[in-house]
Amino acid sequence: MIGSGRKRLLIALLFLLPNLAGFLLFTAGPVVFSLYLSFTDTSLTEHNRYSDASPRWVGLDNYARLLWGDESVFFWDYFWNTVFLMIGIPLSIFGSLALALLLNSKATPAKPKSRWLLSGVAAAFTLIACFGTWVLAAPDEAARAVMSTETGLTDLTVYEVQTLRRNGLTLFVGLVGVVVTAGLGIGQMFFRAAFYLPTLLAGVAMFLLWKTLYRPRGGLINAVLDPILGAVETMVEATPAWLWYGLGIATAALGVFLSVRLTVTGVGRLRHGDVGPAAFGTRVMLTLTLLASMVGLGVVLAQLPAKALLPSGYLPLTPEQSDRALASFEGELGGEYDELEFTAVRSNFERGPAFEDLVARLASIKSEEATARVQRHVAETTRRAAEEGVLSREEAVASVEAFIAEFDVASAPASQLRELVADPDRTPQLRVLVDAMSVALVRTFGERIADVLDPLAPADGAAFTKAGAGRAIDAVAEAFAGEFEPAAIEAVRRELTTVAYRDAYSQLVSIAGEDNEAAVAAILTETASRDRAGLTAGAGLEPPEWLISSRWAKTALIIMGVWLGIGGGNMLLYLAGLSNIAPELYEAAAIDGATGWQRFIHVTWPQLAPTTFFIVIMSTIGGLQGGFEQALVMTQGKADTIVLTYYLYNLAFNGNFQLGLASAVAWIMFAIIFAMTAFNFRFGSRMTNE
Amino acid sequence: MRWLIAGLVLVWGVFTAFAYLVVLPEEQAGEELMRAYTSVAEAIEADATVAGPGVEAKVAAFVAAWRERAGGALPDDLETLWSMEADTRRPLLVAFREAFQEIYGFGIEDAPTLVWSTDDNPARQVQCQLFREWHLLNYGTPADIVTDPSNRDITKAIVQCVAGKGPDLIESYGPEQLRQFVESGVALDVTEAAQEDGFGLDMAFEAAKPSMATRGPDGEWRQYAFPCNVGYTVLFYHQDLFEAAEVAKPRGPWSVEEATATARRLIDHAEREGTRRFGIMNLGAWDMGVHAGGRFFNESATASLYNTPETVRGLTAYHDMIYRDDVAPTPAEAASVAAAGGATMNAGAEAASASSLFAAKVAAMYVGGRWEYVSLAERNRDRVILPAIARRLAEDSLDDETRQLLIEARETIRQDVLLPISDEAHAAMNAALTDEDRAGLVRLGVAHVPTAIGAPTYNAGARVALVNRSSEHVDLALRFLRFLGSEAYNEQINQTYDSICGVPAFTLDDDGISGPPRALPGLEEMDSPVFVEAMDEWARSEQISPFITRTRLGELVGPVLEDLQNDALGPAEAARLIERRINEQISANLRRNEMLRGRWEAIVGKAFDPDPSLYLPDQLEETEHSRSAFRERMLRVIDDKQRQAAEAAVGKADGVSGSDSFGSPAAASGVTR
Repeated sequence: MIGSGRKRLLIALLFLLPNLAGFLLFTAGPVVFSLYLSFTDTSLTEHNRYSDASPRWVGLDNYARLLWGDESVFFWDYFWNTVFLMIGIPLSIFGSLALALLLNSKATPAKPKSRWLLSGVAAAFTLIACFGTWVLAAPDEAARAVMSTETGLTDLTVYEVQTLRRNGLTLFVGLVGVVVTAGLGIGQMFFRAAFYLPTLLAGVAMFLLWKTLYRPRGGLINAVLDPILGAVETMVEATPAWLWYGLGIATAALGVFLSVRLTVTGVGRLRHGDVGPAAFGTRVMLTLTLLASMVGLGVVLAQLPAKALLPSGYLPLTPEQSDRALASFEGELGGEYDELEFTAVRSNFERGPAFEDLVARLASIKSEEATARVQRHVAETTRRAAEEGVLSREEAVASVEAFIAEFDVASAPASQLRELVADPDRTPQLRVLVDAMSVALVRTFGERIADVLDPLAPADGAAFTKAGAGRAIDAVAEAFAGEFEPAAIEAVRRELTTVAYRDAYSQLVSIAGEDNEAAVAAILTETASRDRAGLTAGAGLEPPEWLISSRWAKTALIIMGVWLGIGGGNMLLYLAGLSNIAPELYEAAAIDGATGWQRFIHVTWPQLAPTTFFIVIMSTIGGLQGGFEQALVMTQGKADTIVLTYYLYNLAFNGNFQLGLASAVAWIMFAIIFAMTAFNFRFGSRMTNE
Repeated sequence: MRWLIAGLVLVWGVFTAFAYLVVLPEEQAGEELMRAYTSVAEAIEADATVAGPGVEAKVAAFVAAWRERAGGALPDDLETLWSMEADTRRPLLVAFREAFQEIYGFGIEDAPTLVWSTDDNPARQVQCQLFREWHLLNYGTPADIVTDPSNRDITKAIVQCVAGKGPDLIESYGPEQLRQFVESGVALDVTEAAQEDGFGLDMAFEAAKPSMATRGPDGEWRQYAFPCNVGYTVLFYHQDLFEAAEVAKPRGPWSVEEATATARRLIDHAEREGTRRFGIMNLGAWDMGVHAGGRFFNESATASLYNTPETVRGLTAYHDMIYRDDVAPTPAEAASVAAAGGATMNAGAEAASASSLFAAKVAAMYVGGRWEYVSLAERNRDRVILPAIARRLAEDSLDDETRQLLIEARETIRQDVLLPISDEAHAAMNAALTDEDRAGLVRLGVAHVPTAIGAPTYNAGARVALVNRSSEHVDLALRFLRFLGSEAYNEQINQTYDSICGVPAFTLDDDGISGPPRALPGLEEMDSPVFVEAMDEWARSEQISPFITRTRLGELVGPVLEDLQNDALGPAEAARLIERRINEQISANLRRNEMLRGRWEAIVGKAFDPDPSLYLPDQLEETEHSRSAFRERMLRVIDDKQRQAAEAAVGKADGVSGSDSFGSPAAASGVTR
């Protein structure tokens, strides 16, 4: 016996004293102090030992600023960013559960001999696969002297690039083989360790790795997506549009049908007391998710072909449309803008290309064709491909003279060509000669175009108006009928004679004022043509720009978060939970004739309810606090990825030093987390107990 | 188990004791000071006039005491100390420490030491050594200095200083950071000291002043710092790409239209050769709006008047370069070609990865800083120069003298591309390069950055050192600021290509930017006077406002410019949004902060109306801060700059035979009217 109750208490407190002191000093104390700070206007730069000013008590002013005051725009924007990023939590939880179920199953043989035998076979296959990859992906020896033309790789030869790719592919095949071999040999334990690995790696390293994967061009993810999207595009273009409309409508209709059926079934079960309100609520949420997914998929399918159902935007304004828009603007908003500024805007709308620019732009259509013709000519006259080294001066002169004669090259570019090959000290490389000849051909064509345009050009060297440029382009197309691709001419016309819808909008609003924004929008929507291009029109189906695009950056972070979360602590908790389920329950279910799915729904899932409950709470807390590292390392807060914790950091330290305001953010976050946790406990525990 | 744990603890204890007692790290302390003394003694011996008053005698007395302590082992030529083996030198170091104790009455560990929070650039150690020597040469007493790279961050610096524990010298970047240091009370006002000791504001570039000093309510400048260097970016281009495409090499001043046409020709030429290349990289929307004559604030910084035709022109030029003319990469393209973890978006393509992309000729032109010399020089060294030297050295016919020079060049540049090479060795290295070698070099050209108005504008800031008012060595810290104004320090900045120095008097000599070493082959233009012209004639400091923090400005402007970069917003709309958001924030700050409001009213000369529906610039109507008055003054400034640019551009075009200057579209079509 140690002594009386009080003495025992004293001894216990003495033992706990170091821990308690640490807690009070380093945790409770700062927490209470931050609560105090949140009611003051403390700023590190204004309130310190060098300043006479003291922090002022402002009461709830900081909270008011954040929730509905001048900081509310930022606060709520970042709050919704935080919430959006939590979309990945259910996916991560279900993914962890699925992984745990897989890792709990008996996928590998129990007997070591069988395992080693299978492992040996897998190892043999791996070696064969690696050897096969090495041989099949061998680089082209002829490419040793040719420099790569791929963006970012122009410093390497084609041979070196192919070698790098071969090595990478072989390594990848080998890695997959090793994983399968080791898994078969060692058993489930290997796979459990392998899936858990990402959790052990440093967060920053993982973020940087994913940043590389997410590169819009050349990143692994888009490298895989690109051919898939290309195949979809090909398929859509090869099939009639009505097929995709029908598919889209059918998908959406099926989604509606299933949702209604599930809801009706759920209502029936609720009325009969088969399920409680919480379970019914879950069913409703899942049904809504199913409905949204299938309707969304239906819309995407219907939008795939060109001339899809829903317009996607506005086409640029033609000169006629610009005139109509300006006339409407004058009529409806006359007197609400400065006349001089309106004149400037009208001038912007009307101003077209300079004579030389129009000639250059039209002539440049022929660049590729010019190069191809020159390469053919050079090959014929020199009997060499364009890449092969240096010509003798005589060869070069002969080739040039033949070229000038054959293509009737204009005098100025012809003189330059002759000058190029006349220098005895300078024998041009074949590539340089081909390039110079291409330029000469384009310039010759330019002179022919200029001859057609000259009578149509404005006097005194003034630039064309957009309307005038349109007429000039028509004249050129007519004069050179058959020499221009219609699409190329249309591209030039669109580029040089139209006003972009958005530019027209912003210019008119800038002179009319924001109060007249709605009127400007109405004028332009009435005037402009709607663009009914589908997803595969124009640039086609492009892979997303991930971290660069504010539309996709958060989705990219969610995908990364799900990948990181699947094999982590949640998987371990579920594995532990699964091992605690009594086998008798499964035996009983098997005796009753339950299928695998029924066993999962009626045995596994209910038995895992406490584990799920815990995981949901912890994930919610983590989700509300998270996103900081990703924003800092991967996007630096760009592309609309700032979350509440990052906002707090910016306010407190990143040049603002507003400790009072930052503390208020922290306490609001605490209140939100507390409320959500309380909600989870109240309704989640009810579900757990049902 | 308990015996195992006890054994491990014992082993750990023994090793720790050994490290502390036997290795005697403090015996190594003082070597830098010893080096300073030997350099200074030799310098005085060569020319006694370099020393300050009474310094010669002090140094001589110290050396005499040292010799006595060394018992005759100290060589007459002190510089030869440094070619001795470390073991041979150690007793002399011990003697040095003893002499130090005798002469000064305190040990080397107690020598006055400044802590300088700066980056971990290797050049800082050289600069620290220069300071030790400079201090000894000018004052005859020892001073030591150590760098502290781990506490450079402004937040850490302010937190440590207000807690009473900060470095003696703190680095600040630009006017906004200086403002934060001044407002927090950390920075020491050095105005009077600077006037007395000769490191005043007038010594530095005009554009660097707002980074060194703040203007008080009375309009007087109060100085708090002195520049370590000045930072801004110019245009780099590949000379060989221009020559191959027969496009006139730029120098500037030149306009965005000219640059676009030039870039177009370079891209077309590359495409004919089957290569995809960008014309120009690393231009930013933020800068281009300002370069065109836009300003975030009016002159009094009482409101934002960003939405002007000039700003829209600049933003339009930026947008067109990417989306209409296709000569600059989109943010996605820029991010795609960047190395992992390196570059961010288009204008943020940063440092090492961006310059390596430029070196790989992903872009023909690139906006970068002089500090990128090191990465480019290392590339030339590793890929071209060292193999060329090795090939030449392998020739039997090579004479001994040339062989020695090549070996000297090779060993020097292998060690560090910034180390000086003798003229003869440099010439030998150059002669070893064949035409094929030169074709493999990065051959850099330097030009002014093109702008929408044709007159360059550089948003220049300075990296400055300021004194922590709680420093225990304030006088020594002030001497450090004086050292920053010395020729030795500033030449070292120029020599190490750490941008250029902050003192215009030390920037140029007859050969270009002052001081050896000579640039490695291909990078001679890194010594171009364009760098000094940029700072001297065209630079201005970044504009800040006391009514909105720079950080908040970035938070408001950044997303809008991001949308512009991603073609989700037009230039006019972007300008309008930016102006509105900044003004809303300033208005909110004024409504909330009484002191700030009083300051605003004192400047504007009328009361601030807190009505949230009233637009801030509207409150400035009929005052000298109004939009119309501001615009009138800005247009005059733009006219003057354009006139100046036109005069500067005459005769500066460097044409390639057979082509027009700057490669205009007319030249591309071969047609003129």
